[in-house]
Amino acid sequence: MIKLSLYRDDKRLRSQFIFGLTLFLFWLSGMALSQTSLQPSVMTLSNGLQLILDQNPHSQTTAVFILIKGGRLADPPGKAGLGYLVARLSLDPPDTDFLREFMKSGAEIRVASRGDFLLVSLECLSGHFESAMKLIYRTFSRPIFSGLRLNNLKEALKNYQKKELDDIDSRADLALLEAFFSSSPYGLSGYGHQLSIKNIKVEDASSYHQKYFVGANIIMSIVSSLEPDTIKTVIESTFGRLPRGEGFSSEFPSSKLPEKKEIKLKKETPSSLLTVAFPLPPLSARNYVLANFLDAIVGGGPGSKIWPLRSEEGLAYEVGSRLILMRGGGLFIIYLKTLAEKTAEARVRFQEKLKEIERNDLNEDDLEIGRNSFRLWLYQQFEAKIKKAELQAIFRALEIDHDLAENSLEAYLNKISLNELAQFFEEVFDLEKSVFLEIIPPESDLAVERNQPG
Amino acid sequence: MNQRMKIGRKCLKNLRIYCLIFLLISFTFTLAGVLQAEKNEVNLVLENGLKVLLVHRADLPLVHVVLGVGFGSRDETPSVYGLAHFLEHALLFRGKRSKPAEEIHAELKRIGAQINGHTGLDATLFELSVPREELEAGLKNFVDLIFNFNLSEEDLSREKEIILEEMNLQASEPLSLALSLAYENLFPGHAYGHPLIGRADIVKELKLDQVKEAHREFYSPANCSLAVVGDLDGGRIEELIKRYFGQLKGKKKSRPAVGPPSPLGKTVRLEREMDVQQSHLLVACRAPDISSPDQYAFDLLTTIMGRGLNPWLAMVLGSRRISVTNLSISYNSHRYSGILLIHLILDPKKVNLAERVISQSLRQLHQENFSPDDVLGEARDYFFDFLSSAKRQVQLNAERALEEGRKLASSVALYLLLLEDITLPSYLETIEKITSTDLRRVASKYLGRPEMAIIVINPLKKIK
Repeated sequence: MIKLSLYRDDKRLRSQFIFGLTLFLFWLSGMALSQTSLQPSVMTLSNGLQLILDQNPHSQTTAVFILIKGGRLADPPGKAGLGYLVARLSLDPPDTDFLREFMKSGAEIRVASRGDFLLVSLECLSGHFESAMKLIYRTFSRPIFSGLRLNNLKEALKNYQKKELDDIDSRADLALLEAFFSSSPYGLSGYGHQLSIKNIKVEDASSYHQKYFVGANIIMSIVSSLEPDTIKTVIESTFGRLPRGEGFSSEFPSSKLPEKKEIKLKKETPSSLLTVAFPLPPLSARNYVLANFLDAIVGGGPGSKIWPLRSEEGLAYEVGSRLILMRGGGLFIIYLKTLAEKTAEARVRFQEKLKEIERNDLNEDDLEIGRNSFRLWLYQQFEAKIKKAELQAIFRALEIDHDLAENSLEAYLNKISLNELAQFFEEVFDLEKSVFLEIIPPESDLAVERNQPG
Repeated sequence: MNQRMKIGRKCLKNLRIYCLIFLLISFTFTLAGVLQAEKNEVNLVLENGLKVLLVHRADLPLVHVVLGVGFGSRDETPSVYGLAHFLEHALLFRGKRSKPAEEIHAELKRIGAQINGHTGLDATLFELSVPREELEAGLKNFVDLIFNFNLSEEDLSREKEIILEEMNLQASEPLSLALSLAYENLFPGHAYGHPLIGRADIVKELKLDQVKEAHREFYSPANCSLAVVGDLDGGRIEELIKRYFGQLKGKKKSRPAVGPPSPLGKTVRLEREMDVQQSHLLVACRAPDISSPDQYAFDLLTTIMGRGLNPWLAMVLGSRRISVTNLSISYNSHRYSGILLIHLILDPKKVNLAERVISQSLRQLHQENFSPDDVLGEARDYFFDFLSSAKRQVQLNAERALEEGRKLASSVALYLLLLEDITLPSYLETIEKITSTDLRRVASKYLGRPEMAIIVINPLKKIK
């Protein structure tokens, strides 16, 4: 009370107090801001390996994402699937001692092959990070390329290929990639195909490893509860000792519109899948963001442009869109799954709806939806350490990490104008440049013939 | 690079209804995390009976709100099988409130929010993720959508069409079909045994009154729970919760009595055909329920069998030269029973052998050694320490469960709803104390008898 009355009575002191309080609040808000916009540190080790370190103490785990440049693009002609094979040979337990030691850490490890990169993810309790990394480095740097191991994995790959084709969505993606990128490795599965797998020899695996599993070709992104210095020390003493080598360099293939613009595949299923794919331009930060805006506006659930086919016309349970993003270009895919007997009707309405979307201009509302949906998606991804590590590695590899960093993202998104979005939409959403693909049961094809308008 | 193409926000209902079933896999892990690691929580019960748990996470830019409703497929009578799922659909996508559902969605989209729903055996969950600065607008629309419900005959018939499409899609996918058949055959005559999504003939006959009545009875605040995870500054969130949820009215609904399922007494085997190149084998057994003290040992047993770099089951199959394209194993704990699901994708020629090997191995699991302490002499040096490895993996999962706010909020909402009167011991501390003897006891109790549902989805004969 005394203090209060003092301030009340003394204007000068009061103004000083308000000024001090303002400064304090400003400092506090700065603290709060720095809590949510912690920036990862990016460094290059002496062997050229790029290391991204991000600290997050909210769970006692460490997520490691290793990105090896090349992916399907680095598979030599006729040897599709080689990159994935080499990654597996470099990470699968080479012996029981390794296995016994690795099991102690309780760590989990996964491998995937994409158009431009091989991706390895590892998650472990932070207390086991050092031991897990030392073990992984041992096999990663000196894998055993024996005929027996290679052949066992080749068999596994053949089964993965079948699994990919059994899934209706991945079958559609593969067929569309093949249509648009027929003359490049982008058009092939990361697991290769029967013949390409057969062609792969031990020497191929060994030389691929020597060439691409090197410091200058690797980006490592780590999100951990541990101090960045601790992480850096562990990585310098392990992956920092990989030979420098050279980074993967190649022209990035762009898509070509195939002559055959309608693809029909048959599958005995009670549902039909109708899709349309549009080629995307080569990746840049702008194109990455604009493609994501487009995805949200056209196929992002209720309120999206394609949604009335479900909500008003009852033609599908699943209707939406997805992106396949690659450096040279990619695909924007819109899909609808419907009862086999509704195929003919759904096809007509699907195409009419696409034409309607193509005809109509985008507006400010669309821009806002695109912007907010992308921001929401990114924030959701950043909550899980492994997803954040993955995105940070990929953004770095695409050299778009600066624009999409947490502290510059907002400004970057706000700079995108309706005009820019509309231009991108016009460029991409062109039915003349699209390919239709259907996976339908044989009998629904008959229905097609009967019900074709005109 | 296409990392985002199959995840994310394609459409609200892209997640299958089985998501909730799978969600329960991590339920106990997450629960452990909430109970042990998060000290920044506030527990409230509003005057209308709504149970609320607020978890403050300053690092999250989004706020995740999950409403749990004590209405799942277990509450349905045979004439309305599928009603809980139908109602969830209708609430999310149909009808008029202060404005039409589409306008609510459009507004949520404009503020960068996302809403979703899942129906399960024991409960229905509605999730809202919203930027923290838009929390109030998000909550207002969320409450409007779920509680101020009005459905017309036209809405009813439109949504029936969508549900029939969903049923059809489920029947087209091997794992979805196998899961549905597994529950049906492992819990015959029990509330968990009928298809969660319902049956076409029953859904077609659902009446407007039945849907409205279910909403009135079950969607009362006293029958719900609410979990909020995010940067919840000071008392504002409490004020908002009270403003938007505190005005809701309704009596607590006594849910129909459901007990544990009666013994199955046999193994059921079903075979179906689909246009696939590889076979799917799903082996399902009953397992501890969500309040059982055996769940901890069973979690570890599940981890040992099917997760990590060296799953025990993969070793057993490998020793019989059965290579699999995919091996996944999960333990879903529900309120009145649990279920162990072993899913394999493999060469059709190996299915029968794999089935025999798995059945036999599960029955003999109680004789296995899991830790070096179980063996003597030099063998200790060469023994795979399955037990310690599984404990580390369980710990890793518990920690990871804290990372994603939406998943955390869903688990908390379920916890509030299903375990309101049950006190569980500390999850990770209990896990640490478990020995091989405990694992063998639990294996004998739950897997020692030949009571399974075995579902095989084979390629069409002409393809074979």
